[in-house]
Amino acid sequence: MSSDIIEPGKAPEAQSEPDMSSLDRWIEKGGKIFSFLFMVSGIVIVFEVVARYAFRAPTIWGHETTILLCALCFAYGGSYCLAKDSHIRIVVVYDKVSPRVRRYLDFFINGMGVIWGGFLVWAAWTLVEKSWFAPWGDLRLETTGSAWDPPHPAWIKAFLMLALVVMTVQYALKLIQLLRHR
Amino acid sequence: MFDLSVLGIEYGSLVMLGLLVALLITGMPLAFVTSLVALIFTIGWLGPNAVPLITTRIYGFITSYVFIAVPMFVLMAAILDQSGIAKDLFNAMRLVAGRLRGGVAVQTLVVALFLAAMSGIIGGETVLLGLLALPQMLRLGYNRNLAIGTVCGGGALGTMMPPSIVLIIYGLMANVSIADLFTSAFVPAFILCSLYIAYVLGRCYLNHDLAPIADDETRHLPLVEKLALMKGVVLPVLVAFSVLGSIYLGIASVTEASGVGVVGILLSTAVRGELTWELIKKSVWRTMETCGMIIWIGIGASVLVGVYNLMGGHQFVENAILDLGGGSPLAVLLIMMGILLVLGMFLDWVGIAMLTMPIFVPIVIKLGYDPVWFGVVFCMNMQVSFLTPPFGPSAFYLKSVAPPEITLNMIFRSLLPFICLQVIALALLIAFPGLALWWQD
Repeated sequence: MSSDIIEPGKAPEAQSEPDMSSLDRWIEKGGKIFSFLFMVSGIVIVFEVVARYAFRAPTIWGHETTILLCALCFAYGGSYCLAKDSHIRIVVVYDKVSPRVRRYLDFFINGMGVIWGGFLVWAAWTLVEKSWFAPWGDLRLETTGSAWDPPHPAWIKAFLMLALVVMTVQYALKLIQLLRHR
Repeated sequence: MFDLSVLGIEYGSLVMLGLLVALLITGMPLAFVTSLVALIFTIGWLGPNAVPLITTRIYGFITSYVFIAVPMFVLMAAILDQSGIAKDLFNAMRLVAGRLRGGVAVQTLVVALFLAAMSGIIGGETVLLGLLALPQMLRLGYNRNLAIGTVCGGGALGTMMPPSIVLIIYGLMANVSIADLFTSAFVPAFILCSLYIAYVLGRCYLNHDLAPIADDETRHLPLVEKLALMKGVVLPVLVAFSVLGSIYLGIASVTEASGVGVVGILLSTAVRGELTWELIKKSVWRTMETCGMIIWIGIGASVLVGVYNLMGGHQFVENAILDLGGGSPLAVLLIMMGILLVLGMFLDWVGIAMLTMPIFVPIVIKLGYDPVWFGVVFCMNMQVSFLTPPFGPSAFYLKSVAPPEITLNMIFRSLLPFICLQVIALALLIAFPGLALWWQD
């Protein structure tokens, strides 16, 4: 039956790009492991629901764990979709132009991608800096401030920056690949 | 550094729009175009000190608890698609078809409504119906256009019928209760489906060639088999309804209900003997891909809107739309509908919701309309966007599984009457807000 993965906005035939870089392949593999966290979050939610409604003993970690797991997946998802080229793009023009023009477009897209990523990494760093270091420079992880008080905000912000760094490198590798095969 | 704010908000908005369109047509992903433009304007207009604002917004976006319902419902739908539940449901619903002229089309629409109540995304549903219902209708000699339209129209119902991801995202954007949105969307979804059924039956009644009556062999199913099919279907349907029920009754939050739905549908597949490693694997992979796409479009759009608001664009668009409406709330509303319909031809609903709702919803509230009702109106409007050329996603989904002789052009032509029906439903909803808000005092 419908065993192919169908992603919204795109016909299913555009699977596994032949010109994936090896980094992209690693990201795809990692994503296939990472995505199980969605299932884990589902189970954590149910555990929490049962604990609260059936045993009147809500956990102190359920809520924040779900948020952490999903936030990590969401951040990873950007890089995963970039590797698999499944972000929604408007390709009417892109598909119509000659191969030469398309090459220029590829240059442009990937170049802009690197600029985009570079800016965002910098922007993310401003956030990470605040959540990992006290104003006087000591290491001090930002916590959620709840009864459990885990350092999730610091982790998520660092992971978000990592994902942005990876996406920038993904674009940079594509750019290098283009420059090599002229 | 360059200073963009000398442009003033009028030209600033134009430059922003121009930049967005120019970058989009190069083929750069929507999610990155919006955030790139947002970055350019943050630095150029608000100054480099405002840049942390962007990442703060991104952080806030990916850590909101309600948003977790999105991957959960996507996962639920993915498991449903991988299982044989839809197929059994379709077969079990044969009794609906009976000797009715156009019966199989009606059966398809009823199944679509059930599937819609179990999942909130349309891709899988259109594909499933395209694989199950379309071949059967074509084999029975149904009119091809009617069959195609039924499948696409029915498949798109997934976003209208709760639990719909469109409604969840609207609820987040507009800051209204998602449970209220779900309650309000129920009757309009039903009306839309009834319009489809009435249209199919009407056309078949007027022209008998469109849909031959099913032969006995197709129609007849031994009672034992019927019961066996029912057994496999009852549990998942029960899961879906208890998920919706617990949201309606306010027992569980949307996120909790969605998690329970995932585990519930997983248990149903276990009971059906379909729970395999393969099924779990494929479902979570698909969830990662779908969510990665939705969430990053959301991130980009929310960043862009945030920056635009800080530039004062909010006020500018509000004044422009109100001026254009000439003081009449209905005119303003119709202008918004027009904008949404045009955007729907080119953009994905996620992008549209994130880009326009933060601006439209305050205007709607100011005009004295109910934001919950507007959410349902928006959702109905997005139904149209699934079918309209040149980028109606439903058509592409169907194309991916339809027999090769069915072209994209043919699909879009078949969708025309169904688009008209959607617009009629939209007009009804605007004319009679009570259709959505009947449950309020």
